Amino acid sequence: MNNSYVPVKAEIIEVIQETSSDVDIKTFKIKLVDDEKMDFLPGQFVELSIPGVGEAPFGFASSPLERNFFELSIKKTGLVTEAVHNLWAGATVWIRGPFGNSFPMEEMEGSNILLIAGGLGLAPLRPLILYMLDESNRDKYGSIQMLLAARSSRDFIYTRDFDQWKEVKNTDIILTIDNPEEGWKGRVGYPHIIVSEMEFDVNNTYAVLCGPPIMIKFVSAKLVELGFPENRIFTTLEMRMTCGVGKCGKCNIGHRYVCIDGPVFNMAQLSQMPDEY
Amino acid sequence: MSLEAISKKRIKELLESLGEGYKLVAPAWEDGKLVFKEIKNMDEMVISHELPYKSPKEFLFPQLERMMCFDTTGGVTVEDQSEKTIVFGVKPCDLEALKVLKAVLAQGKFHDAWFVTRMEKTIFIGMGCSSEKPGCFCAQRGINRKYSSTCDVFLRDMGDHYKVEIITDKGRSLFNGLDLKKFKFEEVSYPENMAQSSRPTDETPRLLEIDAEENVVFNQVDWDRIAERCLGCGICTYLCPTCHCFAFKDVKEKDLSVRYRVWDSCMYPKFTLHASGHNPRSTKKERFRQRVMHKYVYIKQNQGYTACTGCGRCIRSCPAGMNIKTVVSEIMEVLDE
Repeated sequence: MNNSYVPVKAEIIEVIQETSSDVDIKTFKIKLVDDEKMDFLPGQFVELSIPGVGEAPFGFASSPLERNFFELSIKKTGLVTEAVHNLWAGATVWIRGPFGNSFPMEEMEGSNILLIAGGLGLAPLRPLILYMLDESNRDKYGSIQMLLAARSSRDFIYTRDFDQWKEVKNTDIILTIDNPEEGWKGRVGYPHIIVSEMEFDVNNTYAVLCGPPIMIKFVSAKLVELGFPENRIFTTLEMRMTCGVGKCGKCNIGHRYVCIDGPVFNMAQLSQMPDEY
Repeated sequence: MSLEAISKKRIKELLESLGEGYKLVAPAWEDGKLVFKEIKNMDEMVISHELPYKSPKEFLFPQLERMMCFDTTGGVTVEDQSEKTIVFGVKPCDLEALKVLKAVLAQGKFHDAWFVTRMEKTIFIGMGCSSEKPGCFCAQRGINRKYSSTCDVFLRDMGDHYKVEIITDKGRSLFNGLDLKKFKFEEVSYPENMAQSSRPTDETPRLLEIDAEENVVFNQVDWDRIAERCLGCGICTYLCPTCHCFAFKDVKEKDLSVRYRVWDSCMYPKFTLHASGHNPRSTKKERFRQRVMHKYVYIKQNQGYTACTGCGRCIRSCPAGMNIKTVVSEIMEVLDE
């Protein structure tokens, strides 16, 4: 029997400082020992352990087509994240997963895609972006529009990817920040305002959002107002969890467990769930 | 099976013979309370109709369990402290709770290996209960306190002897190779279909069940008022035979980092506290609602069982007089309106 609580050994092979602001976000490139492959789908997550400190769940932030390593983008917030931030290339971490469901990659084929991310919310969308923009998959999707928001120009993550993403055909990126800045060439304003100025065919577009809860709330309400059907607006949730496999009893919203029934849900499902967990 | 009836006087002797190679767990007194504990001296064992203060859940799902050790050489060792165990004298309400624990921990896409291993190595010998204690409401949960087949062997009290019913192969294996003659009671014959005939004949009160959609229960019940007296001490979750929420805790022991699994409780604010500081269940209203709805709505929807056996332990031990039976009755009344 596969023991789902026991992690496997892995090695950090690169650490990338993500933002130039004081927000402490790093991306950790990790490979499993003995060149074990990690097979995952966009939207899934792993549990990462630092023995002696603890374990916490993190969404994949790299391409699912790359199986030799994977990346996790981690903000220093609590005990485990602080311990991870003190690690360097060559350090050992422990991994179990992948867990959870995924974005509906097949269901979205043939449709246009609107991606809206706020801050670190871009991290769980990156596997989806890299999958769809890959040459082998790009023709399966229509236009891909990305609306990426951050508090300031220094708070964007993955800026190294942006030029490459823009070069892919029929793909567009709009960057927006909360307040005007000298020399800023992108947009200024919250994403729910900017999105109402964008053009898309609500009958043939899937929207995928991730960001702070307040952003999800305003953007999803705006999309519904603009005519998006609730079952074509997807987001991914996070919740405190121990086991990641539906046993420990922490991450439920109503009868649904974020770890096994999610973390990806559409707005039709979310609007049927009790509000305050 | 030749063993049908055993003399009550001989039961401890029989258990001693059965117990070879097994750890025996049975009700015994400890600090003035009747609890399930490992029996080392048969005189300690208490055979009675009294429902013990604690359920035997901790022998399948210990309050503190060493799960694995990480060493300095970069290895991980999975720990297994399970032992072949006989749990004797388990009442039907606590046996019913096993269904819930098994459904959550041992079924579905993922299994809890520690629980599954203990479950495989444990033999449950059930016994009936003669009377309801204050706070008991098993009948209203549809549980027959005189009989349960959710065990490996059931001993039916026939006055001066027990009728032994072997339910599973595991139960049967316990008696293999045993010279049973000396434990046998004089020949007795039983009417056919005894299991059915022993269902309580007295009129059963309305079942405590919630059949409404989760949002209705979530929103239409006055949870603020219901939760008002709750102190959030969590004793209800510790004594509940079906509660199974847990956390992992890492502890450094010399050169090792040991990961333990410990019971956790939805009654505690930190249970759902995010690293960001956000807490989806920040007040006792949300926490008490979670406890009641997890038992009566969510597990029922996901696993098909209401996770409350009517054992009454949470009611008897609550320092603030909270009562899940009256809470659920009240919810049913609100839903009836």
